[in-house]
Amino acid sequence: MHIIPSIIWIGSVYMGTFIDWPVCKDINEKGRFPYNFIVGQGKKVYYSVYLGIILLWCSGIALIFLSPTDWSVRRIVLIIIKTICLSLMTGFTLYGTLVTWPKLQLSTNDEAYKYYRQYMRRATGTFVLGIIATITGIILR
Amino acid sequence: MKKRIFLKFPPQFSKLINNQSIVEFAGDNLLELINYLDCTYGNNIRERLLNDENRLRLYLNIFIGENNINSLEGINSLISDGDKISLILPRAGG
Repeated sequence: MHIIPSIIWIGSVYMGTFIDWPVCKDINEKGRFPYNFIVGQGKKVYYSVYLGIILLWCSGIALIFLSPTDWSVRRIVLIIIKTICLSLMTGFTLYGTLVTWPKLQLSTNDEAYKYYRQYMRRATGTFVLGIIATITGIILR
Repeated sequence: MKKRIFLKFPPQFSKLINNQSIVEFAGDNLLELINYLDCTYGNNIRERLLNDENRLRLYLNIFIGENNINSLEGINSLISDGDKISLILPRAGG
């Protein structure tokens, strides 16, 4: 319940940021934003990512209280780091859905590149934070 | 004769037409309305809605009243006086 949503979320971000976008840029006519592919991809990934986020938070909170009680300083610090990472990741994702994607869908060609560059920076941040959260989770086990 | 059309657009798009929710224009169909908005307000309205083939961008949905224009005549769907035009964006992003 906790690992599978993590793989889906971080995997989706990895695929979109480091695989799909560079390939898209290479094969697309220069200067033309690959609108159909990018928006289609964003639409497809929406439900799986948000289902993943909800499952991750619910299972994470459950794990804190269901796992053997060990309230050492080290464990609390790790939980705080992981919570900060997940909060930032969730914030980046919500910002993308509520602000960036609606703008992107109605943007001109030039604006689309600008918005997508900003989105990619946040996606890269989400990916790095996801890796940190995963490592923290492994140490916590 | 001019038609009075009610517009319901997402806020970021509405801003581009000075948040107008009612327009009066003399055309007959949706394409003419888009051209009218583009000429009146600028802001590349046409480019934001239509692709290179002059069709509505994939994934955007425009409704005339309760009817999706895809079930009518697409971008050439007829508009009547008092119609409500809604633009709906798909949920996206991760």
